[in-house]
Amino acid sequence: MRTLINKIMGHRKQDTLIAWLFVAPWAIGFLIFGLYPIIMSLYYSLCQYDVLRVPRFVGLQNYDQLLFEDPYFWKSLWNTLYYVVFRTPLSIIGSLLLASMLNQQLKGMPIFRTIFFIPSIISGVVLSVIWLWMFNPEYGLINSGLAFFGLPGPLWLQSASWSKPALILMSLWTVGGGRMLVFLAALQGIPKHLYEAVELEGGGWWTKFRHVTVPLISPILFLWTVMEVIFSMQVFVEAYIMTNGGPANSTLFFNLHLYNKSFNDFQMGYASAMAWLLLVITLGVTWFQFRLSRRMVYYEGGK
Amino acid sequence: MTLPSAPKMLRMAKRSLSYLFVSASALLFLIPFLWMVSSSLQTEQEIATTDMRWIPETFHWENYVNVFEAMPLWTYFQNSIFVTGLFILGTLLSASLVAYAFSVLQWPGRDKVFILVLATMMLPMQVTMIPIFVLYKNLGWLNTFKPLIVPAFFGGGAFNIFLLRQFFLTIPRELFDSARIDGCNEFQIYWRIVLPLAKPALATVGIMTFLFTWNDFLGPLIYLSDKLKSTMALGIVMFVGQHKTEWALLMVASVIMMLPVILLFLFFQRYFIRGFMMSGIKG
Amino acid sequence: MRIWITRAAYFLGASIFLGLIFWGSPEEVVYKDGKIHFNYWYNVGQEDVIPWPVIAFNESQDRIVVHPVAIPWQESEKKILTAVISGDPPSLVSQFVPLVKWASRMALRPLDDFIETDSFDTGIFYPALMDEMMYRDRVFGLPQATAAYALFYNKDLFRKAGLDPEQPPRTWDELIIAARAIDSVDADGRIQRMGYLPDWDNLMPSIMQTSLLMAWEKGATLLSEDGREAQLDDERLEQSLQWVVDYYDVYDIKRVRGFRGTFGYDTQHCFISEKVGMFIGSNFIIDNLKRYRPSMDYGVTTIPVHELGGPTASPAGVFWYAIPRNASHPEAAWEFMVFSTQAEIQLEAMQHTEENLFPSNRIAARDDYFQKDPSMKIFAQQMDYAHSPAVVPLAHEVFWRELNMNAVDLIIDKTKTVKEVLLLANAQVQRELSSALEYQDFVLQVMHFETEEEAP
Repeated sequence: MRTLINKIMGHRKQDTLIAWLFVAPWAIGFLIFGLYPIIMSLYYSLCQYDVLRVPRFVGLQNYDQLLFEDPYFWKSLWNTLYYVVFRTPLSIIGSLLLASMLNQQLKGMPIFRTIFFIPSIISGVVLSVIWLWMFNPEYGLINSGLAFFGLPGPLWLQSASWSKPALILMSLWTVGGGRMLVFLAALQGIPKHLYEAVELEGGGWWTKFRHVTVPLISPILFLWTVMEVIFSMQVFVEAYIMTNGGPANSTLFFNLHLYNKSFNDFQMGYASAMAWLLLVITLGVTWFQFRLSRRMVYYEGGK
Repeated sequence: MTLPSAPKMLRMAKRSLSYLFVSASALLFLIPFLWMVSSSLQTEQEIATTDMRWIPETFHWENYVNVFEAMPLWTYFQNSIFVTGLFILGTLLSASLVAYAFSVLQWPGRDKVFILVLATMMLPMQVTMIPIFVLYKNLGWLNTFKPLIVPAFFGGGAFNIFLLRQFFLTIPRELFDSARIDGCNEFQIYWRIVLPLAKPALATVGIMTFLFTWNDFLGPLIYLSDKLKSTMALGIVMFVGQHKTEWALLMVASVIMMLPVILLFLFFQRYFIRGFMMSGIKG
Repeated sequence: MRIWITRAAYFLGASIFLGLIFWGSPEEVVYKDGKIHFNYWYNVGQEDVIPWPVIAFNESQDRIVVHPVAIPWQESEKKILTAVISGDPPSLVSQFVPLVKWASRMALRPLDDFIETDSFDTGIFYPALMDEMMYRDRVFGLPQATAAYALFYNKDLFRKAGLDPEQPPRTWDELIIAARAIDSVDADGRIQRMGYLPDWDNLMPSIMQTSLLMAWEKGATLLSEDGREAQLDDERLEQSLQWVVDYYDVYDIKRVRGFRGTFGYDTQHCFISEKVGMFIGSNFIIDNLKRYRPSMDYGVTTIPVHELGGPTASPAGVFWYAIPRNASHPEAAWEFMVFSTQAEIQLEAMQHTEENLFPSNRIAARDDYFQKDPSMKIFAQQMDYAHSPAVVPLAHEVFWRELNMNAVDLIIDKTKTVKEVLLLANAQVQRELSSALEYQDFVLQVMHFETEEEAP
């Protein structure tokens, strides 16, 4: 059989055919679950469509309504921005801190590593449930703990001003995950003699940190920051389970608003327009970060 | 006994301080878990007190039995296993097939197409979510488990393809060449040589896929409407929505859902860590 | 040794895994008893109370078995519509959203053929409720239950204020007098008690807005006859809102807001905690009063009017039954609907449920149960003048958002005049309404319906 194809098509072409057979699952998947939906979603974004009835073409009406007449669109963008801007540096720094703590060759490191790691692998659902309970203003651990020290506890998830900080605080519990492991490996990969050189010059830990550690791990830091930003922009599960956008829409994140429009109001055309805006914003933010990186990231082997 | 020298004492002091920091942090991280388990063993009345009671006065183990009456948790558990198991199967099969093509085989355009594969990782799922929903509607797959399982058989995710490819690239070429000389076709090579060798990588992908599917809640939320067809993740969310939440039982359900994940981690730590490390090397 | 432990672990894990996969694969439940079985999805209130009519129905005959399934409030619209989309919905649903919304989306099955075949008399229902079941001149559901509203007043507070507790205000003017008498502030000027808070429910604005009631009383409908034009800028609503603005004029609005901030749920409800002397509430309040403040001496009376002898007005939301469009057992579902809307069944159901709902069947309201109890009698009376809160059903959420939150706040904060606010609100509502209508017209045009049955 092989030799037959060989004769007909020639050796190279046969290789290509076989390769594409192997790639077929992905390729078909890409067409059905990737390309086709992207095109359709662009089409839907130009329509009024509730899935129960046929789509009706309305041109740019959805975008127009979204940008200029939707009271919640800008609110949800603001909420998401707030979350991303505050959470990203905190979680990157948090991971870095944990990694440097674990970098000190202490005995029992596997145990510590396990303890820090596990919160990152439990389900968003369980996370939300645990912290919903922890943040309970009357019986939750956090306010009980604060009361122990004589401090008044805010209403957390039931307060419009504390809800987002609460969510950000909660997400810090998972900083010990994969990202931390990568940072740890990166830290361990820094040659010791560089540190010794700083010590000889009389530099303390800050100098070491700023002039050796950070520049050398900056590619990894940068990469993970980009990923963290994209990931933070997707925030949905916590808001859906814990607050459902409240109180007073303070936790109405972009994806939650999108979800509400799609599956509660069944305004699929409108929601598709939102999805495309999200795509554009994500690309824009990522591009912006890459531009910023040229100035701030140090690549070994010259810039 | 002679006193240790000054620099040595300084080092010891530094180490003790480090230990202190790390232990304190670790304790901080453990607190939510402890609180969760402690709450799961109390009754509703006991929970609704404002003082922090770490160790419940009586251990209400019966909560772990009652929870199965409060919601069809066992059904949810079975559904989760069902969906997760098949999803892992599909992922391992298709991701390895595709990764093989991008690593072992040589063909024109290979690397360009691979970049396309990687690019798909950047796509936010919101863009494709609605048309895929409509697609499933037209296929009649809504309110079945098919939307949660079938996509796994179509490539299993760009990330997994990437991971497996990395691993396959480390297999010495001589193995392939000698196999081809012996007359094996590519599929045989894939099945008999590469897959057995790739067991660690497959285990890693399997575990990471398990995590993803077991914890996933958005898919079931969108595609399943029958109460009895929920997975554990979705089932727990439904339980939260009542006006008067039963916190103790909710904690119990959360512990039960968390248990397989933690057990898996404790037994297979290596694979978890490797999985995450391999994703970091990409930088 | 370690190798064997590891191998054993793998083996154990694999067998558990496979076992669960094969035994755990979910199967559709199939009934083999020759009866018709169908699912009935209803909303969970606070308790998982199996609707009593279901039990009664299942016991009363042996051809049909109804399976009630409770779904959480937040999820209900999404679940039901998704089920309709998926092609396999339950055969019967109960909901609270404006029925027209779903009927216009072609999610429900018209009932006219059943009504004709069975010669069913829809006149047994309160007209306001039945009206809400209509869409484009066809019937899409039957009203199941409602909540009736009346004016509650605290007799103790009346006495303290020097008012006659047996003579509650009957006109809006009388109400103002009574309210001001009950108002009291403490030494710092903080409000301790208020007689009445128009356009404000307990924790947020809600459907029994005083201004809306007044507008209804004067005959305003806020929507054109053909349902295509929103008319929020109706003079009558304007006058009513102006009344509310004038009412709040005498107070420092900051104080009022602070006062409102002290309200809460249950025992902290503004009327139950005796912070507010008069309150337009539903029969739900009676339940809560029994539970949280059984000692309160309160009275129930009809909602005030402008002129004595004029018609009063009250809101009445509707819980309705309907059959999803592609349901598998519509006839069986219809039989249940007929059964449970009978007066006797509705009366009995009221006694079996914790929720204090009011029957939709007018005949039931003439029963002694209502006529003997003075409060209940008032509710029954008030129901004759009920209006559906689905004023603009195709733009329901927008209508209430504009009226509740924006209009009321803006007016009281005095940044705009009443007229301006209503014009703005009307523009928003009209936009939403037009959009929905355009979609509806488009669909009717494009989807050529084979039979009358198909068309919504």
